[in-house]
Amino acid sequence: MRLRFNGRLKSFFHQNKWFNMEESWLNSSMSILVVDDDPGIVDILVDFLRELDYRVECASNGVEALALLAVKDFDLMLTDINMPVMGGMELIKRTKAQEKCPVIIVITAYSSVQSAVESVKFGVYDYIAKPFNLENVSNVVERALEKQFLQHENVNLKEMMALYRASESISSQFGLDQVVKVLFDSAASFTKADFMALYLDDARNGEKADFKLWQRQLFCWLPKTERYLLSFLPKKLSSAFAEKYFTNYSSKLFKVDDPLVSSIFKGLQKPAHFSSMMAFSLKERNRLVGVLILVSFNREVIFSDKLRRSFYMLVSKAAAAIENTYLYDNLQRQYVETVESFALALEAKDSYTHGHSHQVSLYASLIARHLKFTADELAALQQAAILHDIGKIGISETILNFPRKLTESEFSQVREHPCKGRDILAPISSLTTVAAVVYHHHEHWDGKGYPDGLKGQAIPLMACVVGIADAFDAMTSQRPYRAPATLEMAFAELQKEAGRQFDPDLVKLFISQKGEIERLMASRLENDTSLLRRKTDQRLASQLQLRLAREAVA
Amino acid sequence: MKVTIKLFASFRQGRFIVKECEYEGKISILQVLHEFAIPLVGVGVLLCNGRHVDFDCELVEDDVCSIFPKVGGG
Repeated sequence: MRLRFNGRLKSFFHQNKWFNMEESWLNSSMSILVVDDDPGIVDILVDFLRELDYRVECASNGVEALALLAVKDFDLMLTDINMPVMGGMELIKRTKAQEKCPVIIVITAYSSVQSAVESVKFGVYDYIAKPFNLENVSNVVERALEKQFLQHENVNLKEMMALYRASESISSQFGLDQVVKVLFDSAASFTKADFMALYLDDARNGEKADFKLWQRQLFCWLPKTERYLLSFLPKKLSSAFAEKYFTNYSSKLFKVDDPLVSSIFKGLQKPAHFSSMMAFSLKERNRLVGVLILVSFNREVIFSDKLRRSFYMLVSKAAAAIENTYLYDNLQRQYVETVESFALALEAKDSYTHGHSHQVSLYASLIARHLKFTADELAALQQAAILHDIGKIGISETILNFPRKLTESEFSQVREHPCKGRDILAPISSLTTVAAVVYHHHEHWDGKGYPDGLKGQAIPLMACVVGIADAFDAMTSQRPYRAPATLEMAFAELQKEAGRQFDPDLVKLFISQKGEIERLMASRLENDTSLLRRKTDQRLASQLQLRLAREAVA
Repeated sequence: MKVTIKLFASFRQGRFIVKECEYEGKISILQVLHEFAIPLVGVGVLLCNGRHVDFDCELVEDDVCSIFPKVGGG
């Protein structure tokens, strides 16, 4: 019978290699504590159970048993009821109050069967009446241990499920703040750690790992004498410290007497409540993402190796999620850079419109500030402002730089640029909103604009915003055929066209920010002059070279 | 053929705790009990290599046979 149970355990091992193999109750034989004041009974039970391959220890009364239970984990306890010093009932009550409680079987004489039955009320699994027959003992013990095994399995499975759910939740988070929050919350509930610190490698700084303390949190209330931990731990567990000591392994458990722990507390009075520390390095695709440190100041919360291993699963999920947010940020950044280089390419064709896109995006943001746009909408507006004239890539340079008013056929070509812009941006699915704004930015409030001739509220709000910003910057900048208008002239023109070309509310909003607009115009003028100077210098230099070359030939 | 015989509790009195025995040919636990003059009625449990067995179980090379008396107590 014993063999059958062993066999089942073994097959469980083979099927579940991922499972915690080092778990004490799986790793070796199960352990039993025999408590009886009759040495004859204890001897035979110990001999018999050892023959059946259990690890057996014995005690002669309740006090001795409690002392053993305090230092060792037992799977099962066989106890007598009538014993000196401390009897069985008291022992059962006290054992049941402990967190890790073995399954209990009572051995009792016929005369006290009544009390054995009573003991079942306290959660005792079964009882054996004396005089007993050994075969019966082995049956009862085996059944009880099987129950204990299933209970362990159930608890483990529940823990695993909870961890699995937490890790799923981490994977579905978006944004660094969210991922870190879920990681800290789950760490607090699973490990009951009191202090946590997360150091992340700032991936943006190129090749070299640059550790920064991202977040730390103290969950416990510490007595006054230990409050200093708050100020000293972050210093001791600094980024450099984390990088030096915690990045060589994937996860590690530090007991109170670990040399590293001693070095942390070197020169300081070791806090009485320090109990244990765990460190995890977050790795994703062989890249070190960061380090997570958990500390417990509660003597009853001592991190176990099992906890370390199960929690590592969650940490690796978090590492993947954090790396993902980095990758996404990267993608976003590269994408924005691409968009900006588009705009630069456009402006390179036309020296007079240099800086125009950038300026339009600044004016548009100024208006948007009062429109309660979300962060995403604001980003889309800025991109649209930068890209609004992208369609001009398809129009001949001679027309764009023509130093007089355009003929009707030339003008009809210019009118195609919103349409061309939309076609250029159409293949990029994430730019749908931006493409719509580009397409409609020349619509007029009274419906006389192009390309669709939309009227009033039918025009997308962002397109109206870009329209005003575009017109204002065009008026106030230098053109081949006219001098720039002053701020007052441009405002007057905007007010005249409010309700005709422009949304009147947006015009009011724009004009109300005169101070800001003046500042933006001034900074543009500065940029332009410096650019002009550079261009003039270049021209002078090339003329000089040409002249030198000619003289050399002569 | 070498087998190990282990005796427990009262069976140890006047006998031994563990003994390695040499036998030629087949031998059953019943014969072993007879050899050491252990009364059949007093036997509680018989284990062979940690498994419950019966009197007529035949021992083979390197077997460990444990013999327990019936237990009283109170």
